[in-house]
Amino acid sequence: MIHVVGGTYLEQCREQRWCELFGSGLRASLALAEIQRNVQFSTFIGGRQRGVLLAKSAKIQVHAIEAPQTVIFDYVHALARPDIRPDDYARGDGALRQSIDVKSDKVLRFGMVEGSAKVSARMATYDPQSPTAPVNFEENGSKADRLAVVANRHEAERLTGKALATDACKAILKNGAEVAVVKCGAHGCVVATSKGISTVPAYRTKKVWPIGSGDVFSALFANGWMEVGMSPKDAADRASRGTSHFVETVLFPSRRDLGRKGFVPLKQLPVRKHKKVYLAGPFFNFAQRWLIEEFRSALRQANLKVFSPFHDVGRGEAQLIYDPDIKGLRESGVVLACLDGLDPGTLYEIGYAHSLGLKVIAFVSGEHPEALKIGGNSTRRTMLFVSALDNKGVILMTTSLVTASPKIWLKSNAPVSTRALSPFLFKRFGNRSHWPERQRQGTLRVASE
Amino acid sequence: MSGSPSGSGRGDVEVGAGFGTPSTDVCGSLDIETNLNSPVRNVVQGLKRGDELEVVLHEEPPGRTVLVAKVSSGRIAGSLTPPSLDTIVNCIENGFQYVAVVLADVDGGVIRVRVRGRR
Repeated sequence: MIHVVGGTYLEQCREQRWCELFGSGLRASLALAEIQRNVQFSTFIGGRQRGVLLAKSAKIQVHAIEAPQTVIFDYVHALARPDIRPDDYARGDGALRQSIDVKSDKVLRFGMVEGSAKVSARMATYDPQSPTAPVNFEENGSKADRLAVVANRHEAERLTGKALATDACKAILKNGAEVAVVKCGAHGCVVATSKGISTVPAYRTKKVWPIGSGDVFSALFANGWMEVGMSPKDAADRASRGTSHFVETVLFPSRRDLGRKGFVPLKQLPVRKHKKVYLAGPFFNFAQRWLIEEFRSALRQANLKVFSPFHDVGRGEAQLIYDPDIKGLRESGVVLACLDGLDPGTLYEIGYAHSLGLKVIAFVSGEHPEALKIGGNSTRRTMLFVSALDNKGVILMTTSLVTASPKIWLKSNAPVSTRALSPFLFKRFGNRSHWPERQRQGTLRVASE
Repeated sequence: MSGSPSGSGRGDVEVGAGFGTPSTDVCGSLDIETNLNSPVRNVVQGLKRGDELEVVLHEEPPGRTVLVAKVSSGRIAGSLTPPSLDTIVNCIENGFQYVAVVLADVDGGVIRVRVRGRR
Protein backbone atom coordinates (compact mmCIF):
# COMPACT_ATOMS: atom_id res chain seq x y z
CA MET A 1 0.00 0.00 0.00
CA ILE A 2 1.18 3.51 -0.81
CA HIS A 3 -0.43 6.60 0.62
CA VAL A 4 -0.23 9.53 -1.78
CA VAL A 5 -0.66 13.06 -0.56
CA GLY A 6 -0.69 15.92 -3.02
CA GLY A 7 -2.71 18.36 -5.03
CA THR A 8 -5.88 17.88 -7.03
CA TYR A 9 -5.98 20.69 -9.54
CA LEU A 10 -7.95 21.83 -12.51
CA GLU A 11 -5.56 21.86 -15.45
CA GLN A 12 -6.41 23.93 -18.46
CA CYS A 13 -4.29 24.12 -21.57
CA ARG A 14 -5.87 26.58 -23.94
CA GLU A 15 -3.92 25.82 -27.10
CA GLN A 16 -4.75 22.12 -26.87
CA ARG A 17 -8.27 22.75 -25.58
CA TRP A 18 -7.52 20.54 -22.60
CA CYS A 19 -9.44 21.00 -19.37
CA GLU A 20 -9.32 18.17 -16.86
CA LEU A 21 -9.18 17.59 -13.13
CA PHE A 22 -5.83 16.07 -12.24
CA GLY A 23 -2.96 17.69 -10.34
CA SER A 24 0.13 15.90 -9.06
CA GLY A 25 -1.49 13.87 -6.32
CA LEU A 26 -4.53 12.65 -8.23
CA ARG A 27 -2.56 11.84 -11.37
CA ALA A 28 0.07 9.91 -9.40
CA SER A 29 -2.62 8.02 -7.49
CA LEU A 30 -4.34 6.99 -10.71
CA ALA A 31 -1.00 5.99 -12.24
CA LEU A 32 -0.24 3.84 -9.19
CA ALA A 33 -3.71 2.27 -9.31
CA GLU A 34 -2.86 0.90 -12.76
CA ILE A 35 -0.02 -1.18 -11.38
CA GLN A 36 -0.78 -1.89 -7.73
CA ARG A 37 -3.66 -2.40 -5.34
CA ASN A 38 -4.54 -0.39 -2.29
CA VAL A 39 -3.72 3.20 -3.13
CA GLN A 40 -4.82 5.81 -0.63
CA PHE A 41 -4.95 9.46 -1.56
CA SER A 42 -5.19 12.54 0.67
CA THR A 43 -5.82 15.92 -0.90
CA PHE A 44 -7.64 19.24 -0.78
CA ILE A 45 -10.62 19.81 -3.04
CA GLY A 46 -13.00 22.68 -3.73
CA GLY A 47 -16.67 21.78 -3.34
CA ARG A 48 -17.66 21.99 -7.01
CA GLN A 49 -15.02 19.47 -8.05
CA ARG A 50 -15.58 16.93 -5.27
CA GLY A 51 -17.98 14.94 -7.45
CA VAL A 52 -15.47 14.85 -10.32
CA LEU A 53 -12.72 13.70 -7.96
CA LEU A 54 -14.87 10.86 -6.68
CA ALA A 55 -15.95 9.90 -10.20
CA LYS A 56 -12.30 9.55 -11.19
CA SER A 57 -11.37 7.61 -8.07
CA ALA A 58 -13.09 4.25 -8.46
CA LYS A 59 -9.77 2.44 -7.99
CA ILE A 60 -8.37 4.50 -5.14
CA GLN A 61 -9.45 5.41 -1.63
CA VAL A 62 -9.77 9.18 -1.31
CA HIS A 63 -9.51 11.34 1.80
CA ALA A 64 -10.53 14.79 0.58
CA ILE A 65 -10.38 17.88 2.77
CA GLU A 66 -12.69 20.70 1.82
CA ALA A 67 -10.87 23.73 0.42
CA PRO A 68 -12.35 27.12 -0.47
CA GLN A 69 -11.62 26.55 -4.14
CA THR A 70 -9.92 24.02 -6.35
CA VAL A 71 -6.62 25.41 -7.55
CA ILE A 72 -6.37 26.08 -11.28
CA PHE A 73 -3.23 25.64 -13.37
CA ASP A 74 -3.86 27.53 -16.58
CA TYR A 75 -1.42 26.93 -19.45
CA VAL A 76 -1.49 28.96 -22.65
CA HIS A 77 0.25 26.00 -24.24
CA ALA A 78 1.70 22.83 -22.83
CA LEU A 79 5.25 24.18 -22.59
CA ALA A 80 4.27 27.48 -21.00
CA ARG A 81 4.59 28.38 -17.35
CA PRO A 82 1.14 28.00 -15.82
CA ASP A 83 -0.90 30.83 -14.44
CA ILE A 84 -1.99 29.61 -11.01
CA ARG A 85 -5.25 30.76 -9.49
CA PRO A 86 -6.34 31.90 -6.96
CA ASP A 87 -3.51 34.41 -6.83
CA ASP A 88 -3.13 33.95 -3.09
CA TYR A 89 -2.05 30.35 -3.59
CA ALA A 90 0.31 31.29 -6.37
CA ARG A 91 1.97 33.79 -4.05
CA GLY A 92 2.19 31.21 -1.26
CA ASP A 93 0.11 33.42 1.01
CA GLY A 94 0.38 31.89 4.50
CA ALA A 95 -3.13 32.91 5.49
CA LEU A 96 -4.63 30.37 3.12
CA ARG A 97 -2.28 27.50 3.80
CA GLN A 98 -3.63 24.36 5.38
CA SER A 99 -1.98 21.12 6.43
CA ILE A 100 -2.73 17.42 6.00
CA ASP A 101 -1.14 14.97 8.45
CA VAL A 102 -0.33 11.55 7.01
CA LYS A 103 1.05 8.63 9.02
CA SER A 104 1.68 5.54 6.95
CA ASP A 105 4.31 2.92 6.17
CA LYS A 106 4.97 4.19 2.65
CA VAL A 107 4.11 7.67 1.49
CA LEU A 108 4.44 9.53 -1.79
CA ARG A 109 4.29 13.22 -1.00
CA PHE A 110 4.01 16.09 -3.46
CA GLY A 111 4.54 19.75 -2.79
CA MET A 112 1.28 21.69 -2.96
CA VAL A 113 0.56 25.35 -3.62
CA GLU A 114 -2.54 25.53 -1.43
CA GLY A 115 -1.18 23.81 1.67
CA SER A 116 1.25 21.28 3.00
CA ALA A 117 1.43 17.64 4.03
CA LYS A 118 3.16 16.65 7.25
CA VAL A 119 4.33 13.09 6.78
CA SER A 120 5.46 10.43 9.19
CA ALA A 121 6.57 7.28 7.36
CA ARG A 122 9.05 4.43 7.28
CA MET A 123 9.67 5.04 3.58
CA ALA A 124 8.80 8.22 1.75
CA THR A 125 9.25 9.53 -1.77
CA TYR A 126 9.10 13.30 -1.92
CA ASP A 127 8.52 15.34 -5.06
CA PRO A 128 8.78 18.99 -3.99
CA GLN A 129 6.81 20.18 -7.05
CA SER A 130 6.50 23.90 -6.98
CA PRO A 131 6.85 26.36 -9.81
CA THR A 132 7.71 29.08 -7.31
CA ALA A 133 9.23 27.94 -4.02
CA PRO A 134 9.96 24.23 -3.40
CA VAL A 135 10.75 23.38 0.22
CA ASN A 136 12.76 20.61 1.84
CA PHE A 137 10.92 17.51 3.08
CA GLU A 138 11.59 18.07 6.77
CA GLU A 139 10.82 21.79 6.73
CA ASN A 140 7.23 21.26 7.92
CA GLY A 141 8.17 18.59 10.48
CA SER A 142 7.88 15.60 8.13
CA LYS A 143 9.88 12.50 9.05
CA ALA A 144 10.84 9.32 7.22
CA ASP A 145 13.31 6.56 8.10
CA ARG A 146 14.16 6.21 4.44
CA LEU A 147 13.66 9.15 2.10
CA ALA A 148 13.97 9.53 -1.66
CA VAL A 149 13.76 13.03 -3.11
CA VAL A 150 12.66 13.23 -6.75
CA ALA A 151 12.89 16.71 -8.21
CA ASN A 152 13.27 18.29 -11.60
CA ARG A 153 16.39 20.26 -12.40
CA HIS A 154 14.89 23.65 -11.61
CA GLU A 155 13.39 22.52 -8.31
CA ALA A 156 16.64 20.83 -7.32
CA GLU A 157 18.56 24.01 -8.06
CA ARG A 158 16.14 26.06 -5.97
CA LEU A 159 16.35 23.55 -3.12
CA THR A 160 20.12 23.26 -3.05
CA GLY A 161 21.52 26.28 -4.86
CA LYS A 162 23.40 23.90 -7.16
CA ALA A 163 22.89 24.25 -10.90
CA LEU A 164 24.50 20.95 -11.89
CA ALA A 165 22.28 17.91 -11.36
CA THR A 166 25.11 15.86 -9.85
CA ASP A 167 25.96 18.64 -7.39
CA ALA A 168 22.30 19.03 -6.47
CA CYS A 169 22.06 15.28 -5.86
CA LYS A 170 25.04 15.39 -3.51
CA ALA A 171 23.49 18.29 -1.60
CA ILE A 172 20.18 16.43 -1.26
CA LEU A 173 22.00 13.36 0.11
CA LYS A 174 23.97 15.55 2.49
CA ASN A 175 20.65 16.89 3.76
CA GLY A 176 19.63 13.41 4.92
CA ALA A 177 17.95 11.69 1.96
CA GLU A 178 18.90 8.11 1.14
CA VAL A 179 18.19 8.63 -2.57
CA ALA A 180 18.27 11.71 -4.78
CA VAL A 181 16.80 11.74 -8.27
CA VAL A 182 17.11 14.88 -10.39
CA LYS A 183 15.12 14.82 -13.61
CA CYS A 184 16.56 16.58 -16.65
CA GLY A 185 13.79 16.26 -19.24
CA ALA A 186 14.90 14.67 -22.49
CA HIS A 187 18.36 14.20 -20.99
CA GLY A 188 17.01 11.62 -18.55
CA CYS A 189 17.80 11.81 -14.86
CA VAL A 190 20.62 11.54 -12.37
CA VAL A 191 20.23 9.02 -9.54
CA ALA A 192 22.43 9.26 -6.46
CA THR A 193 22.87 7.22 -3.31
CA SER A 194 25.74 6.92 -0.85
CA LYS A 195 27.14 4.21 -3.14
CA GLY A 196 27.49 6.48 -6.12
CA ILE A 197 25.89 8.48 -8.91
CA SER A 198 24.44 7.06 -12.10
CA THR A 199 22.38 8.31 -15.01
CA VAL A 200 19.18 6.98 -16.50
CA PRO A 201 18.11 7.91 -20.03
CA ALA A 202 14.85 9.27 -21.27
CA TYR A 203 13.26 7.11 -23.93
CA ARG A 204 12.33 8.07 -27.44
CA THR A 205 8.71 8.89 -28.23
CA LYS A 206 6.91 10.05 -31.33
CA LYS A 207 5.23 12.87 -29.47
CA VAL A 208 5.23 14.39 -26.04
CA TRP A 209 2.44 15.50 -23.77
CA PRO A 210 4.47 17.23 -21.07
CA ILE A 211 1.78 18.17 -18.53
CA GLY A 212 1.91 15.68 -15.67
CA SER A 213 4.91 13.69 -16.87
CA GLY A 214 6.75 14.43 -13.61
CA ASP A 215 3.81 13.16 -11.57
CA VAL A 216 3.83 9.87 -13.42
CA PHE A 217 7.59 9.51 -13.04
CA SER A 218 7.38 10.02 -9.28
CA ALA A 219 4.51 7.56 -8.95
CA LEU A 220 6.33 4.86 -10.90
CA PHE A 221 9.57 5.47 -9.01
CA ALA A 222 7.74 5.27 -5.68
CA ASN A 223 6.15 1.99 -6.70
CA GLY A 224 9.45 0.52 -7.84
CA TRP A 225 11.56 1.64 -4.90
CA MET A 226 9.10 1.39 -2.02
CA GLU A 227 6.64 -1.32 -3.10
CA VAL A 228 8.55 -3.63 -5.44
CA GLY A 229 11.91 -3.25 -3.70
CA MET A 230 13.92 -2.26 -6.74
CA SER A 231 17.24 -0.43 -6.52
CA PRO A 232 16.90 3.35 -6.95
CA LYS A 233 18.52 3.18 -10.37
CA ASP A 234 16.29 0.35 -11.59
CA ALA A 235 13.22 2.08 -10.19
CA ALA A 236 14.19 5.31 -11.96
CA ASP A 237 14.84 3.49 -15.22
CA ARG A 238 11.46 1.77 -15.13
CA ALA A 239 9.87 5.10 -14.22
CA SER A 240 11.57 6.70 -17.22
CA ARG A 241 10.19 4.00 -19.53
CA GLY A 242 6.73 4.38 -18.07
CA THR A 243 6.89 8.13 -18.39
CA SER A 244 7.75 7.81 -22.07
CA HIS A 245 4.62 5.68 -22.46
CA PHE A 246 2.58 8.38 -20.74
CA VAL A 247 3.92 11.32 -22.68
CA GLU A 248 3.31 9.51 -25.95
CA THR A 249 -0.19 8.18 -25.23
CA VAL A 250 -1.43 10.35 -22.32
CA LEU A 251 -2.38 7.02 -20.74
CA PHE A 252 -0.98 5.53 -17.54
CA PRO A 253 1.21 2.50 -18.21
CA SER A 254 0.11 -0.94 -17.08
CA ARG A 255 2.56 -3.52 -15.75
CA ARG A 256 2.58 -5.01 -19.23
CA ASP A 257 3.46 -1.64 -20.74
CA LEU A 258 6.30 -1.22 -18.25
CA GLY A 259 7.71 -4.62 -19.08
CA ARG A 260 7.49 -4.47 -22.83
CA LYS A 261 10.59 -4.43 -24.98
CA GLY A 262 11.32 -1.82 -27.57
CA PHE A 263 11.99 1.28 -25.49
CA VAL A 264 14.76 3.15 -27.27
CA PRO A 265 16.98 5.32 -25.06
CA LEU A 266 17.77 8.80 -26.27
CA LYS A 267 21.45 9.22 -26.81
CA GLN A 268 23.13 12.14 -25.15
CA LEU A 269 25.84 14.07 -26.83
CA PRO A 270 28.26 16.32 -25.02
CA VAL A 271 26.99 19.89 -24.84
CA ARG A 272 29.89 21.05 -27.01
CA LYS A 273 28.49 18.90 -29.83
CA HIS A 274 24.99 20.29 -29.57
CA LYS A 275 23.97 22.19 -32.66
CA LYS A 276 21.78 25.24 -32.68
CA VAL A 277 18.12 25.30 -33.52
CA TYR A 278 17.45 27.93 -36.19
CA LEU A 279 14.16 29.58 -35.33
CA ALA A 280 12.61 30.66 -38.62
CA GLY A 281 9.44 32.68 -38.76
CA PRO A 282 8.02 36.10 -39.50
CA PHE A 283 8.22 38.87 -36.92
CA PHE A 284 6.35 41.70 -38.57
CA ASN A 285 3.64 42.10 -35.95
CA PHE A 286 3.18 41.53 -32.23
CA ALA A 287 1.44 38.17 -32.59
CA GLN A 288 4.27 36.83 -34.72
CA ARG A 289 6.90 38.18 -32.36
CA TRP A 290 5.07 36.67 -29.38
CA LEU A 291 5.12 33.27 -31.05
CA ILE A 292 8.83 33.57 -31.75
CA GLU A 293 9.40 34.53 -28.10
CA GLU A 294 7.42 31.51 -26.88
CA PHE A 295 9.29 29.10 -29.11
CA ARG A 296 12.65 30.56 -28.15
CA SER A 297 11.78 30.40 -24.47
CA ALA A 298 10.62 26.78 -24.70
CA LEU A 299 13.72 25.74 -26.62
CA ARG A 300 16.03 27.47 -24.17
CA GLN A 301 14.21 25.91 -21.23
CA ALA A 302 14.99 22.57 -22.83
CA ASN A 303 18.65 23.56 -22.63
CA LEU A 304 19.00 24.06 -26.36
CA LYS A 305 21.09 26.59 -28.19
CA VAL A 306 18.91 28.77 -30.38
CA PHE A 307 19.69 31.05 -33.29
CA SER A 308 16.79 33.43 -33.71
CA PRO A 309 17.08 35.96 -36.54
CA PHE A 310 14.72 38.22 -34.62
CA HIS A 311 16.86 38.16 -31.48
CA ASP A 312 20.31 37.58 -32.90
CA VAL A 313 20.17 39.74 -36.03
CA GLY A 314 17.14 41.96 -35.65
CA ARG A 315 14.98 43.85 -38.08
CA GLY A 316 16.41 45.63 -41.09
CA GLU A 317 16.77 45.84 -44.83
CA ALA A 318 17.21 42.58 -46.71
CA GLN A 319 20.74 43.41 -47.78
CA LEU A 320 21.72 43.95 -44.14
CA ILE A 321 20.11 40.92 -42.56
CA TYR A 322 20.59 38.33 -45.29
CA ASP A 323 24.21 37.40 -44.67
CA PRO A 324 24.03 37.13 -40.86
CA ASP A 325 20.76 35.17 -41.11
CA ILE A 326 22.28 32.69 -43.54
CA LYS A 327 25.43 32.44 -41.45
CA GLY A 328 23.24 31.50 -38.49
CA LEU A 329 21.38 28.98 -40.61
CA ARG A 330 24.61 27.40 -41.80
CA GLU A 331 25.79 27.05 -38.22
CA SER A 332 22.57 25.36 -37.09
CA GLY A 333 21.65 21.69 -36.98
CA VAL A 334 17.89 21.86 -37.33
CA VAL A 335 15.27 24.42 -38.27
CA LEU A 336 12.06 25.12 -36.43
CA ALA A 337 9.87 27.10 -38.81
CA CYS A 338 6.68 28.97 -37.96
CA LEU A 339 4.75 28.54 -41.19
CA ASP A 340 1.54 30.34 -40.34
CA GLY A 341 1.12 33.11 -42.89
CA LEU A 342 3.42 31.36 -45.38
CA ASP A 343 5.95 34.13 -45.02
CA PRO A 344 8.24 34.14 -48.08
CA GLY A 345 11.35 34.66 -45.98
CA THR A 346 10.53 31.62 -43.91
CA LEU A 347 9.84 29.53 -47.00
CA TYR A 348 13.19 30.63 -48.38
CA GLU A 349 14.91 29.59 -45.16
CA ILE A 350 13.24 26.17 -45.34
CA GLY A 351 14.45 25.67 -48.88
CA TYR A 352 17.94 26.83 -47.99
CA ALA A 353 17.99 24.53 -44.96
CA HIS A 354 16.97 21.60 -47.10
CA SER A 355 19.79 22.34 -49.50
CA LEU A 356 22.15 22.08 -46.54
CA GLY A 357 20.62 18.74 -45.54
CA LEU A 358 19.11 20.10 -42.34
CA LYS A 359 16.00 18.67 -40.76
CA VAL A 360 13.08 21.10 -40.71
CA ILE A 361 10.23 21.03 -38.23
CA ALA A 362 7.33 23.18 -39.31
CA PHE A 363 4.73 24.63 -36.99
CA VAL A 364 1.38 25.29 -38.59
CA SER A 365 -1.79 26.16 -36.73
CA GLY A 366 -3.97 28.18 -39.03
CA GLU A 367 -3.36 27.52 -42.68
CA HIS A 368 -5.90 26.21 -45.14
CA PRO A 369 -5.50 22.45 -45.67
CA GLU A 370 -4.79 23.07 -49.34
CA ALA A 371 -1.65 24.96 -48.41
CA LEU A 372 -0.48 22.09 -46.25
CA LYS A 373 -0.25 19.46 -48.95
CA ILE A 374 3.43 19.46 -48.50
CA GLY A 375 4.28 15.89 -47.89
CA GLY A 376 1.47 13.65 -48.90
CA ASN A 377 1.50 10.48 -46.88
CA SER A 378 5.01 11.21 -45.70
CA THR A 379 4.01 14.31 -43.80
CA ARG A 380 3.75 13.52 -40.13
CA ARG A 381 0.86 15.17 -38.36
CA THR A 382 0.53 15.41 -34.64
CA MET A 383 -2.05 16.75 -32.26
CA LEU A 384 0.39 17.26 -29.44
CA PHE A 385 3.62 18.98 -28.70
CA VAL A 386 6.53 17.08 -30.07
CA SER A 387 9.79 16.99 -28.25
CA ALA A 388 12.22 14.34 -29.27
CA LEU A 389 15.95 14.08 -29.18
CA ASP A 390 17.24 13.02 -32.54
CA ASN A 391 20.49 11.29 -33.31
CA LYS A 392 22.28 14.58 -33.72
CA GLY A 393 21.50 15.53 -30.16
CA VAL A 394 18.98 18.23 -30.84
CA ILE A 395 15.45 18.47 -29.61
CA LEU A 396 12.80 18.92 -32.21
CA MET A 397 9.72 20.67 -31.05
CA THR A 398 6.50 21.76 -32.59
CA THR A 399 2.88 21.99 -31.75
CA SER A 400 -0.02 20.86 -33.77
CA LEU A 401 -0.52 19.59 -37.21
CA VAL A 402 2.51 19.33 -39.41
CA THR A 403 6.04 18.13 -39.34
CA ALA A 404 7.09 18.75 -42.88
CA SER A 405 9.79 17.37 -45.06
CA PRO A 406 11.01 20.20 -47.25
CA LYS A 407 12.40 17.64 -49.66
CA ILE A 408 8.88 16.50 -50.32
CA TRP A 409 7.72 20.09 -50.30
CA LEU A 410 9.81 20.85 -53.31
CA LYS A 411 8.54 17.84 -55.20
CA SER A 412 4.91 18.25 -54.27
CA ASN A 413 2.10 20.03 -55.98
CA ALA A 414 1.97 23.07 -53.79
CA PRO A 415 1.07 25.70 -56.35
CA VAL A 416 -0.25 28.27 -53.92
CA SER A 417 2.68 28.37 -51.59
CA THR A 418 5.59 28.05 -53.96
CA ARG A 419 4.61 29.26 -57.40
CA ALA A 420 2.76 32.32 -56.21
CA LEU A 421 5.54 33.35 -53.92
CA SER A 422 8.49 32.72 -56.16
CA PRO A 423 8.58 36.19 -57.76
CA PHE A 424 8.65 37.73 -54.33
CA LEU A 425 11.42 35.43 -53.24
CA PHE A 426 13.63 36.60 -56.07
CA LYS A 427 12.69 40.21 -55.61
CA ARG A 428 13.66 40.09 -51.98
CA PHE A 429 16.71 37.94 -52.18
CA GLY A 430 18.15 38.81 -55.53
CA ASN A 431 19.13 36.40 -58.24
CA ARG A 432 19.48 32.67 -58.27
CA SER A 433 23.08 32.72 -57.26
CA HIS A 434 22.01 33.15 -53.66
CA TRP A 435 20.79 29.57 -53.64
CA PRO A 436 23.24 26.78 -52.99
CA GLU A 437 23.60 24.30 -55.82
CA ARG A 438 21.18 21.64 -54.60
CA GLN A 439 18.61 24.27 -53.76
CA ARG A 440 18.80 25.90 -57.18
CA GLN A 441 17.95 22.69 -58.92
CA GLY A 442 14.91 21.99 -56.79
CA THR A 443 13.44 25.37 -56.24
CA LEU A 444 13.88 26.87 -59.67
CA ARG A 445 12.06 24.01 -61.26
CA VAL A 446 9.08 24.72 -59.04
CA ALA A 447 9.42 28.44 -59.48
CA SER A 448 9.33 28.22 -63.24
CA GLU A 449 6.03 26.36 -63.32
CA MET B 1 -21.01 34.07 -22.83
CA SER B 2 -18.07 31.97 -23.81
CA GLY B 3 -15.58 31.68 -21.01
CA SER B 4 -17.84 33.04 -18.33
CA PRO B 5 -18.11 31.18 -15.01
CA SER B 6 -21.60 29.97 -15.79
CA GLY B 7 -20.96 29.49 -19.46
CA SER B 8 -20.82 26.49 -21.69
CA GLY B 9 -17.30 25.49 -20.90
CA ARG B 10 -15.71 27.01 -23.93
CA GLY B 11 -12.40 28.39 -22.89
CA ASP B 12 -12.58 28.36 -19.12
CA VAL B 13 -12.32 25.81 -16.38
CA GLU B 14 -14.93 27.46 -14.18
CA VAL B 15 -17.60 25.59 -16.00
CA GLY B 16 -21.05 24.52 -15.10
CA ALA B 17 -23.71 25.66 -12.77
CA GLY B 18 -22.82 23.21 -10.03
CA PHE B 19 -25.68 21.66 -8.13
CA GLY B 20 -29.31 22.47 -8.67
CA THR B 21 -31.22 22.88 -11.89
CA PRO B 22 -29.02 24.33 -14.61
CA SER B 23 -30.41 26.91 -16.97
CA THR B 24 -31.61 25.97 -20.42
CA ASP B 25 -28.91 28.19 -21.89
CA VAL B 26 -26.16 26.29 -20.10
CA CYS B 27 -27.52 22.88 -21.09
CA GLY B 28 -28.30 23.91 -24.64
CA SER B 29 -24.94 25.45 -25.40
CA LEU B 30 -22.75 22.92 -23.61
CA ASP B 31 -19.72 22.11 -25.74
CA ILE B 32 -16.61 20.65 -24.14
CA GLU B 33 -13.68 18.42 -24.96
CA THR B 34 -12.59 15.70 -22.59
CA ASN B 35 -10.92 12.29 -22.27
CA LEU B 36 -12.73 9.01 -22.67
CA ASN B 37 -11.59 7.29 -19.47
CA SER B 38 -10.96 3.58 -19.06
CA PRO B 39 -11.69 2.87 -22.72
CA VAL B 40 -12.94 -0.66 -23.32
CA ARG B 41 -10.39 -1.93 -25.78
CA ASN B 42 -12.55 -4.17 -27.92
CA VAL B 43 -15.29 -1.54 -28.07
CA VAL B 44 -13.19 1.47 -28.98
CA GLN B 45 -10.86 -0.19 -31.45
CA GLY B 46 -11.84 0.91 -34.89
CA LEU B 47 -13.43 4.15 -33.74
CA LYS B 48 -12.78 6.87 -36.26
CA ARG B 49 -12.64 10.60 -36.13
CA GLY B 50 -16.19 11.95 -36.27
CA ASP B 51 -17.89 8.87 -34.85
CA GLU B 52 -20.68 9.78 -32.44
CA LEU B 53 -21.16 8.07 -29.09
CA GLU B 54 -24.24 8.42 -26.96
CA VAL B 55 -23.65 10.12 -23.60
CA VAL B 56 -25.79 8.63 -20.84
CA LEU B 57 -25.91 8.12 -17.09
CA HIS B 58 -25.04 4.64 -15.91
CA GLU B 59 -25.30 3.18 -12.43
CA GLU B 60 -22.38 0.96 -11.54
CA PRO B 61 -22.02 -0.24 -8.89
CA PRO B 62 -25.59 0.26 -7.62
CA GLY B 63 -25.91 3.66 -6.01
CA ARG B 64 -22.98 5.14 -7.91
CA THR B 65 -23.94 7.02 -11.05
CA VAL B 66 -21.31 7.63 -13.68
CA LEU B 67 -21.38 9.38 -17.03
CA VAL B 68 -20.51 7.02 -19.86
CA ALA B 69 -20.29 7.03 -23.65
CA LYS B 70 -21.88 4.19 -25.60
CA VAL B 71 -21.39 3.05 -29.17
CA SER B 72 -24.41 2.46 -31.40
CA SER B 73 -24.67 -1.18 -30.32
CA GLY B 74 -25.25 0.03 -26.77
CA ARG B 75 -21.91 -1.17 -25.41
CA ILE B 76 -20.06 1.17 -23.07
CA ALA B 77 -16.92 2.62 -24.63
CA GLY B 78 -15.66 4.42 -21.51
CA SER B 79 -16.53 6.99 -18.87
CA LEU B 80 -16.45 10.78 -18.94
CA THR B 81 -15.28 12.92 -16.02
CA PRO B 82 -14.91 16.52 -17.24
CA PRO B 83 -14.79 19.35 -14.70
CA SER B 84 -18.35 20.23 -15.74
CA LEU B 85 -19.56 16.73 -14.82
CA ASP B 86 -22.18 17.97 -12.35
CA THR B 87 -23.65 20.30 -14.96
CA ILE B 88 -23.90 17.61 -17.61
CA VAL B 89 -25.48 15.16 -15.20
CA ASN B 90 -28.05 17.75 -14.15
CA CYS B 91 -28.80 18.65 -17.74
CA ILE B 92 -29.35 15.00 -18.69
CA GLU B 93 -31.60 14.55 -15.69
CA ASN B 94 -33.57 17.53 -17.00
CA GLY B 95 -34.08 15.95 -20.38
CA PHE B 96 -31.14 17.16 -22.47
CA GLN B 97 -29.34 14.70 -24.70
CA TYR B 98 -25.67 14.74 -25.63
CA VAL B 99 -23.28 12.98 -27.94
CA ALA B 100 -19.53 12.53 -27.68
CA VAL B 101 -17.84 13.04 -31.03
CA VAL B 102 -14.51 11.22 -31.41
CA LEU B 103 -11.85 13.80 -32.29
CA ALA B 104 -9.21 11.55 -33.82
CA ASP B 105 -8.86 8.01 -35.11
CA VAL B 106 -8.15 5.63 -32.24
CA ASP B 107 -4.45 4.80 -32.33
CA GLY B 108 -3.67 3.40 -28.90
CA GLY B 109 -3.36 6.77 -27.20
CA VAL B 110 -5.82 8.76 -25.17
CA ILE B 111 -9.22 9.15 -26.83
CA ARG B 112 -10.44 12.72 -26.88
CA VAL B 113 -14.10 13.46 -27.49
CA ARG B 114 -16.18 16.58 -27.92
CA VAL B 115 -19.39 16.51 -25.92
CA ARG B 116 -22.23 18.58 -27.37
CA GLY B 117 -26.00 18.52 -27.62
CA ARG B 118 -27.61 15.97 -29.87
CA ARG B 119 -28.75 17.63 -33.08
